[in-house]
Amino acid sequence: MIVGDINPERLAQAKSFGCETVDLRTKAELPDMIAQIVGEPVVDAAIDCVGFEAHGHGKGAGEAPATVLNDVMSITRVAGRVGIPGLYVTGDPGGVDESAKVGRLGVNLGLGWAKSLSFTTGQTPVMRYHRQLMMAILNDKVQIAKAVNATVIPLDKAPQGYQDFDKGAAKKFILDPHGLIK
Amino acid sequence: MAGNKCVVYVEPGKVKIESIAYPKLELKEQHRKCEHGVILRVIATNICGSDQHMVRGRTTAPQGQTLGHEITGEVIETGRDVEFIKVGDIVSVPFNIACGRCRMCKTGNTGVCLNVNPARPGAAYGYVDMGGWVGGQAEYVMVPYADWNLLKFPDKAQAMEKIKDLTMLSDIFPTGYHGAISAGVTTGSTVYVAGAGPVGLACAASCQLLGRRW
Ligand SMILES: [Zn+2]
Ligand SMILES: [Zn+2]
Repeated sequence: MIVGDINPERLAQAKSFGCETVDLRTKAELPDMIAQIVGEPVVDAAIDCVGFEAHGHGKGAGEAPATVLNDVMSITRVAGRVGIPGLYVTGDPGGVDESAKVGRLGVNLGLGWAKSLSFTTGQTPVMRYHRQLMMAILNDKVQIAKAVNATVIPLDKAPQGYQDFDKGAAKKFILDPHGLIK
Repeated sequence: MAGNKCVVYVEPGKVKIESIAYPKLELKEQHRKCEHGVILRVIATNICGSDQHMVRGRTTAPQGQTLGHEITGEVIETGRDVEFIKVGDIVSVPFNIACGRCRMCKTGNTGVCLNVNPARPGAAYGYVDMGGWVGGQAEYVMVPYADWNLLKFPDKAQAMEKIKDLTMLSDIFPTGYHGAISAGVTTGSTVYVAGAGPVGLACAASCQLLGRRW
């Protein structure tokens, strides 16, 4: 699969386990970048793993909360499905405008309708998947800790962990309150 | 009674470790005991991108909001009505709190359980507007409806060996996988994943499991 982001460290992490990547800081259009990799400007399936604090494309682009939703619509094959585990909210005191403050975003639904796309939103019902994924882990079918660069820190170091994560560290911080993790 | 250190939100950009009450098997708001709950000694608890929304001041989280919804731990106390989970079990806690009794839980939609948050369907530990449940970026935490919610790892030694992988079962691995499944990813699919944060990477790893082409 192809993973897109504006953070080079996180893109390098994606590459480390075999993902193709597209750097969204560049001026190139997303469909063109996709075409360079798969040979056509569309994919069968697209997933928004960013959510409402999305940024626009290109150098120094500011926050633009509908960017990712419009991106994925533009590159999903007609009649395709879009997964949206990225979080969207009904209230955002830091929203870019009055609409965004109540969760109303400039989503190009006309395009989505014209392409017969389907969307899945909402919190993941974890129980639907956790047992199967546990078995995949226990039987060495997936290296999820490695993929997300799991990094263990003591509970007391949480404030530092939050800061580093906020700066865009390509790490998933695990707090270890009792020093039990080897 | 033992103390309990927990990560709490202070103000935009700032969290701190605070000493909060040791968890009790009770439902504060409903003024009753929580005999279906357990207390966990937390083994691993992850910082999540969705916590960042609160800490950046992008929600209405109040000062003192306890944090942490990605919890893996060892059961150290069980309520009277917990039948199958035992003291000593190492368990993964789904971040969605669910009752197992309502029509949404019965149809597998545990993310929008109707009985765990008076304000709206759906609840989580340590999250604003998510039912007021105490966060799990802490030494100890209470989990309600334990027989229903908890996933027990089959072998303790093996679980501790793979704990850095298993801790991702509380949220980001299922969340990334759900993204892939709901987008229809299957053998031979071409896939685009927007975002290379932990959920994006977990989604990419899930697409590999599901046999995507690109
Ligand atoms: Zn999370
Ligand atoms: Zn329920």
